[in-house]
Amino acid sequence: MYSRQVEELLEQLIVAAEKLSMGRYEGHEQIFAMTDDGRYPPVVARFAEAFGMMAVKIEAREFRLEQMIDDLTRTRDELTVTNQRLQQSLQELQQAQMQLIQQAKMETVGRLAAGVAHEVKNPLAIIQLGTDFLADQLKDTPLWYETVMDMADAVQRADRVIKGMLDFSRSEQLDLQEADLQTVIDDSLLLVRHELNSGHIAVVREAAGDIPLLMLDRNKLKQVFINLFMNAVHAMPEGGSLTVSVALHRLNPADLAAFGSDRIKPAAGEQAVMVRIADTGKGIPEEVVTKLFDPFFTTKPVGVGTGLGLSVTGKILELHHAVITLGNRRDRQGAEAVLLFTLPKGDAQP
Amino acid sequence: MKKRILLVDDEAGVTRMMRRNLEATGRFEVRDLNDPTQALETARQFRPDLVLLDVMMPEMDGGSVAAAFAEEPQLARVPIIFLTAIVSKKEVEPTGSQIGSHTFLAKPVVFSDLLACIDGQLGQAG
Repeated sequence: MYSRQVEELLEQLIVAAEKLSMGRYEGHEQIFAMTDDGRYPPVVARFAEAFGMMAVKIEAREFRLEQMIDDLTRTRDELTVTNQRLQQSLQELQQAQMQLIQQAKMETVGRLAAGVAHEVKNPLAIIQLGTDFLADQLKDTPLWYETVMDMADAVQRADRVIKGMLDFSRSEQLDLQEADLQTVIDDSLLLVRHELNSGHIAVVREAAGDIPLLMLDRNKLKQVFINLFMNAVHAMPEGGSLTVSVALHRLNPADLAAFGSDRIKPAAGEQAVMVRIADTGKGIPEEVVTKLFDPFFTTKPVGVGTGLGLSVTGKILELHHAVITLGNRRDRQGAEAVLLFTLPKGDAQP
Repeated sequence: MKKRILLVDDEAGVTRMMRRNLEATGRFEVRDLNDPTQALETARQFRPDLVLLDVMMPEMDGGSVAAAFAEEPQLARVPIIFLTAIVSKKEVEPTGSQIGSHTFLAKPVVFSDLLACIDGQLGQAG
């Protein structure tokens, strides 16, 4: 009599144990129900109850475990986000540090330049006047005359370097006036027309009609544009074409990613005047892109570049709250400079 | 009649080279001076038609020399060309720029530019 009932209970327990092993907890309620009515010997009933209690406790423990896993997952996600933020802060710090180093380097060069320039100009003046005198005396002796003229050329070259250093040390002060950027660009193009013509370089000028006046130091900006145009000329020894376009442009996040300056930050959606100067030369080698604005960095042959042009350019633009990026063209072979002049708040168009 | 030019520059090399160039034209009588404190006294005796004056000199700068000349009735109208090493040629035209009422030339100056500037000044003076 008992054995049949016990067997039945044991079968229930086996089913419940199997379910339990698969993570299903519904079997124990039935077991409790079966042991309630006193049909089983007490020891069997207690065993079944103990089994049921074990299942209940396992279920409760598993539930707590799941909760803990949820908590842990949440914590891990939060940590991932915090970590990402920390990484970003670190990157920003490193960037700021690099900029501080760069700035300090520029300031040192500037101070040094002004001092050296003055000390070197007098000896240069003596050599210049000496070669002028000798050239006059030796003009009937071609070989001697040419030798002296080579020396005079060398003085002029040295003077250009000094001039570059002086420009660099003094690019801090601006004389700002309301001016038309397009006129400044056209005037600058006019000043290099001889180099463009003799270099067989065609100019493609794309102008927009709706460019507002900006606060500009015309002379310093002419220096910037002449420098960029001359770089283009030097990049196209076999001739080519120089595209200069000016347009009003609403900034999108992709534009901004390309501009490195951390001190001047145009925001997405803001209006800016965009100047693009593109050549059809060989382009800029990848490894030099980051060095372009370093003082005394040059890729030009000795005597052609002082290595100060772009560092002066960068500094003048920064003082105009303008940014520049230099890189290779996407549409064809060649390099391009893109400049952004942000508009004064009042001029921003809806 | 040769025009008289007074050169004042603390660098003896500069005055010597300028003097050689100017004298080689056969058109000028040149007196050079490396001590700016002597400039006024020398000018009173030499009576220059034009003065070439360095700006940055120890003891007395070019501006002070020019101010002293301006107070002398006989020298006040003598044209002065300032020579300076502290401006670049970009800021000053090769044949001289007017800054205020003065003409400035940037060092190192090419002699033909200097000559053109001198001729311009002497032409205006008279």
